[in-house]
Amino acid sequence: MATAHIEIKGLRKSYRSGPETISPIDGLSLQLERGEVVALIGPSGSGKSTLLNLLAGIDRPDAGQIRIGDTQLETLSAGARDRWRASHIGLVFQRFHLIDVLNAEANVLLGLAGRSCRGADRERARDLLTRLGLADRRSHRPSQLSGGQQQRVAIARALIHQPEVVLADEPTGNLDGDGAATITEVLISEARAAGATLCIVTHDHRVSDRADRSFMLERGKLTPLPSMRAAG
Amino acid sequence: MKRWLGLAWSRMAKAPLRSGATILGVGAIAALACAALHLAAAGRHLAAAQPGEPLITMQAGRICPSTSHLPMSARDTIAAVPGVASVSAQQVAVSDCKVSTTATTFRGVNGQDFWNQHGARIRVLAGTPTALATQPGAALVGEQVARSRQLALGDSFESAGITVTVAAIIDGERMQDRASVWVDHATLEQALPALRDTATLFEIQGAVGQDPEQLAERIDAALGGLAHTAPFSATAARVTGSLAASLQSGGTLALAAAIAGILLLANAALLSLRSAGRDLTVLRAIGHPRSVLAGVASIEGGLLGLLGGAGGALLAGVLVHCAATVISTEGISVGIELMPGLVATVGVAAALCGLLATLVPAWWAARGDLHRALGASA
Repeated sequence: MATAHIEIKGLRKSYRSGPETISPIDGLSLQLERGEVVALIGPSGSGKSTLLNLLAGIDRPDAGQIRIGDTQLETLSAGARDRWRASHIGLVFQRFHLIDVLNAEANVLLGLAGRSCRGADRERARDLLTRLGLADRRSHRPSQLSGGQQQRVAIARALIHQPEVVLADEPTGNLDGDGAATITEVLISEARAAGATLCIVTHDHRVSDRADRSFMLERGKLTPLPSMRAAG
Repeated sequence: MKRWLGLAWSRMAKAPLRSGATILGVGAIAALACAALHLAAAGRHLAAAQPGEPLITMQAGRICPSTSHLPMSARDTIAAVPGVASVSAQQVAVSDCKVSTTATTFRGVNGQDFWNQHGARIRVLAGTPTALATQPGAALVGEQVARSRQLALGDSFESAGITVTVAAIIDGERMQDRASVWVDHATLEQALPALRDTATLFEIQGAVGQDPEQLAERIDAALGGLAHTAPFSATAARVTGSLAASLQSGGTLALAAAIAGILLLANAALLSLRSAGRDLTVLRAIGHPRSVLAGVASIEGGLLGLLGGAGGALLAGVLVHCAATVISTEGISVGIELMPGLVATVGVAAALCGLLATLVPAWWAARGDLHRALGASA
């Protein structure tokens, strides 16, 4: 029997918010296959971003286990999680989070965390930008790019180090309809081309329609949604 | 490293007013520190005993060389003291006995014998040095004096009632060589008849292996208690009194300037990090180690310190060199001379201060709670 690429068991995470304790993740379990595209949907505050942060090793669970590949995340120290994230995870944020004083190519190369850039890396950054339709924009700074173009740069940054998992937090949240559709298409096709498992947190049902599987996160637990792709 | 330098540089360029003001502030502080360190070095050098330094014999109980009067005939008495290798008589006349940067120190010497006595340590930069013995009113002008007064060969000038013409410009191992105007006894005596047959001081070189203290005691005994003999450094320290100590306190001034520089850079770093917070959070989120990010944030401080420090130190160096300041008191001159090593040290120290000042705030910025920081920057 094949082993899942990502395996989450009995995950719990709670926060103090004033006198209240909020538990956005409460006994959540999930298995994802390598190369799978998964959409996580849920209302604001349902814990989607918290789950993504736990998967990225940015945050640590209160209880439960997260295994990605051969790595048991909850056993790693903060520093070890940073190092692991640098080589295994690609992150795409809703607000792009590009460094505004650097041009597109330099921003993409920042995805190579924990090691210096080599000539081959620059070649790869240029290839990625070309594939994402930004060949003539690689010397432009973020302020000189549209929202959709900035998100493409952010996607290239997430893919430059060939991660095994790409985590995208509302990647189309700041884009208009056409731009959102294009970015969804680009993100999914590039992740598939790279063989990466893609986990997208979104409010946008068009994104979930393009995923292999979709889940609704509510009251700390995931509920599978019917697959539009399979139905289509 | 190259990309982090590029990032730091881009961040500095993005805030030109803040960066420029910091660089100018650090530059001013570095210039002050550099100048203060040059003063301190000059003060230290003046009072520091040098190997092979001469003994100076002056009239007992006199502090100001220009008030010391010894009979010229004492030269023969001193020369006869066992252990004395050579002795030269000098007549010192100054335009101002008090601490001054404009005073002229004339040293009257035997023009015929000058090169035998002092030639080993004197280098002629320009002109005809033999004119000292042959041409009335001829002067060998120390290069520090020539530079500070912008004197050229053939120029005549008057000070303290003595008019001389620049016959040669000389350099020498000792500051007194470079900061004095050397004339023949006759020139000085013609202008100041009271100096006739009178020496202000005698400069004595002991024979190899002679103990200076014992030789000084023998000389004073031979002159029957009329004179006091001491190594040049001790004489200079006694004559200049608090001036040398004041100059040496330049070290404290430089330290205070360094602290002010660190605080200025730390303040600039805090302002910079406030705006860099989101960038650091994003870089950490995508896996850059905290130590690297602290280093990245510190590079900006280091660059600001290096640019300001190097600029300020270079400016101070140029000013020190061009001004060629000589502080004189009682006929002893303290020259403020350019020390390239000191300029380089101040520049490097400013860069290190920049790194040091930024390191702590950078480390704190880099180790913040990433989950919260991401939430705040979302």
